[in-house]
Amino acid sequence: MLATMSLSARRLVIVSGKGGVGKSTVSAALGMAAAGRGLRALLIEVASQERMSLLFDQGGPIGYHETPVYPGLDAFSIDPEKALEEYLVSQLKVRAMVERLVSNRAFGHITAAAPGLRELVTLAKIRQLVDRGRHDIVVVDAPATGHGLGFLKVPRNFIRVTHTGPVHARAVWVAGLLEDAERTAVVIVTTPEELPVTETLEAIADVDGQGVPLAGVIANAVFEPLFEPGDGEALAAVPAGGDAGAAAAAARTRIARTADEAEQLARVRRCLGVLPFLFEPRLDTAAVAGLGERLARL
Amino acid sequence: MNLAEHLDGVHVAVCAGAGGVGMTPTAAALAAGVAQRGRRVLVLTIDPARRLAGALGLPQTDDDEHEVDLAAHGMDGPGSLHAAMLDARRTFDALVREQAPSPEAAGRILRNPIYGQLAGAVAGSHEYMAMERLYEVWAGGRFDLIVLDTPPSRHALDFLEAPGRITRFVDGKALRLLVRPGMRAGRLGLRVLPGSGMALGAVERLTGTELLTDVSEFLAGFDGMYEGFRRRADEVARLLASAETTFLLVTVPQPEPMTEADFFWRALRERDLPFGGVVVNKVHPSYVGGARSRVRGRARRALAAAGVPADVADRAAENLLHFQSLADRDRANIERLQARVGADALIEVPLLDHDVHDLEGLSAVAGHLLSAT
Repeated sequence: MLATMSLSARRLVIVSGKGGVGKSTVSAALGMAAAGRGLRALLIEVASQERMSLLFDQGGPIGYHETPVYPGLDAFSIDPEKALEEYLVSQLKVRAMVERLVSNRAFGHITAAAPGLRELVTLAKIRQLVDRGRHDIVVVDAPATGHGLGFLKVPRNFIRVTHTGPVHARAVWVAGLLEDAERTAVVIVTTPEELPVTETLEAIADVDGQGVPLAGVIANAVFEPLFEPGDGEALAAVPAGGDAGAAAAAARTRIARTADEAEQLARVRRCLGVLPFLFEPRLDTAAVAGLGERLARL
Repeated sequence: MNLAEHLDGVHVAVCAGAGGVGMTPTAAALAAGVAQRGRRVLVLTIDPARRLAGALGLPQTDDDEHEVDLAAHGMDGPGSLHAAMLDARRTFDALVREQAPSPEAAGRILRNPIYGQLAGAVAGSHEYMAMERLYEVWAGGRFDLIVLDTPPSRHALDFLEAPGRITRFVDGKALRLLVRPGMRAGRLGLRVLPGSGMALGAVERLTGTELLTDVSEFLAGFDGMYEGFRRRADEVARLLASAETTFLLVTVPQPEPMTEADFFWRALRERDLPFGGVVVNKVHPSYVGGARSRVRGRARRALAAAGVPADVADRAAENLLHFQSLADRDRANIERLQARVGADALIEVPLLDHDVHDLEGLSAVAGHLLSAT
C-alpha cells in the first residue's frame, strides 16, 4: 500500500526532473503545502542554486544553514564544498588538519574530479538533516542531471565499486534512507511537452525495481481548460488583423497547444497531480502558495 | 544581426544554454538552414527527442554520421546535412583505445570500475566527450560547418571547465604526486605532513584502501597517455578560441534562463571565446497594443462585431489578455538582456503552435534564425 501512502507522511521527499520544468517551484509548493498542514518542513536546495532565496524574497542567499522562509517552513542550501569539509572533520577529527587539507591544491583537484563524491556528501548531509529530527518532513530540490535519476544512484555506484572503508559505509548509510519506501518518496516533475515526458518515462523505467521509492509524477505548467469544443470553429471565420483577429490568433495558439499537451499528458503514467500554467509575470511567494494548495491532498 | 552570414564565416558553431530551452531543435534547424545555403554541414546532437531523431533519420542505437535526405522534404540545395548522436561512453572508449600504448593496456582501463564511473553519467564527462568528438570530426575535414548541441548546463562555467577538470584528473599532475610506486602495496597510513603525503593519507581515510587501489591502478593504466590527453585538451581549447568557432547561446525569455545566458556571455568574454549571438526561443508574439486594462473589452466588442457568440468571445478575450501579458513579460526580459549583450546580438524565434519534430518545422525555425535583419 506504499504507492497510495501520502507524500506528507514521509520524512524525505525528493523532487527530480529535467531542467526547466519548474522543479524548484514544485519543491517550494510541496514544502508550503506541508507547512500548511501544520508540519515542520525543511526545504533543501543543492549545489548552491539559491533559487529559493528568489522565490521567497529573501533579499540574500539562503546559505548553508536553516533559514526561516515562511511560517512553518525553513530552507537550507547545501554547498557540496562545505558538506565535504564537514565530512572530513567527522572522519579526520582534527579541524586544523582539514583546513590544511582543503587548501591543498592536489586534494582540490582530486575531489573536483572524483566521480560522484560531491553528490555523495550532499546526500549524506541530507540524511543528517533528516535524522536530526527538527523537521517532520524534508523536501529536496534535486539537481537536474539531464540523465534521469543519476543523483539518486550515486550511493549504489559507490557501494558497487567499494566493498569496505568509510566511503562504502557512508554510501550504505545514505542508501538506507534513500531506498526506504516508508520514509522516502521520489517525485518526478514534468511539463506536458514531448521531451520532458519522454525523459520522465525513461527515468521511471530506469529506476523501476532498483530500490528507488518512486511515488509518481507531477505535471507542471499545464494550460487550464478554457475553451470548449466548438470554440475553434466559432473563431475560425474571424478575419485576421485588428482586436478580433488578435484574439482569434491567440485562441488558436492556446487550442493547438492544449491539444498537444493532452496528448503528452496521456503518456504520463503514475500522475500524482497537475499544476496549472501561471500567467503571472513573476512567480512570487503567493503564487507558489497557490500551487501548494493544489498539492495539499498529496 | 545576420546569423546566416556570420555562420558562413566559421567552421564550428557551439550551441550552449540551460536545459529546456530548445537547444537541440535550434542546433538542427541552424544546420539544416546552412546546408540549404550550400555548405556541407554536420549536426552533433545529444539526446534528441525521439520524433526529432526520427526526422533526422537517426537510429537510437549508434553514434555514426547519417546523411539527412533534404531533397525528400523539398529542401534540396547544393549542400548536404549529416546528423550524429553523441554517445559519451563510446567516444571515451574510442579515445582510450586510440591513446593506449597497446590493446591490452586499453582493456585494463576499460574494465576498471573507476573508469566505468568516470565515463558514465558523471558531471563533466559528457561535456568533455562532446568536445572530443567535435575535435575528431573537425580534424577529419569532411564538413564545412559542424553544429554542436551541448549538454544542458545549469552553470555555464561547468560546461567550459569540465574538459579541463577531467583532463587534470587523468593527466594526474596532482595525482602523480600522490600515486607513487609502492602505494599499491597497501596502506600508507596517515601522515600529518603538509603537501601530498597528508592529502593522500586523508584520501585513504576517506575512501578506504580498496577504492584507492582501484584509482591508482586506473591512473597507472593512464601512465604514458597523460601527454596525449593533455595535448588533445590544448588543441580543443585552441580550436574553441579561434576565429573558426562561434558560440551561440540559446535561451527562452524567462528570467532564469535569461540570467543564465547573461552569465554565460560574461564567461565567454572572460575567456576570450568567440561570441556569435543569443538565440531566444519561444517568444510570445505581441498581439495588441494600447492600454492593457482595455484589451479585454476591446477584444470582446470586436469579436461580437465579427459575429462570434458572446460566451466564446468572453473566453477568447480573457485568453488574449493572458497571452498579451506573456508577450509583455517576454519583451521586458529580452530588453533587459539586450541592454547587457547589445541589441543586435539577439535573434528571436517566435513561439510556434506545435513543438518542432519534423524537417518542415526545422525549416520554418531556420527561416526565423537565418533571415537577414
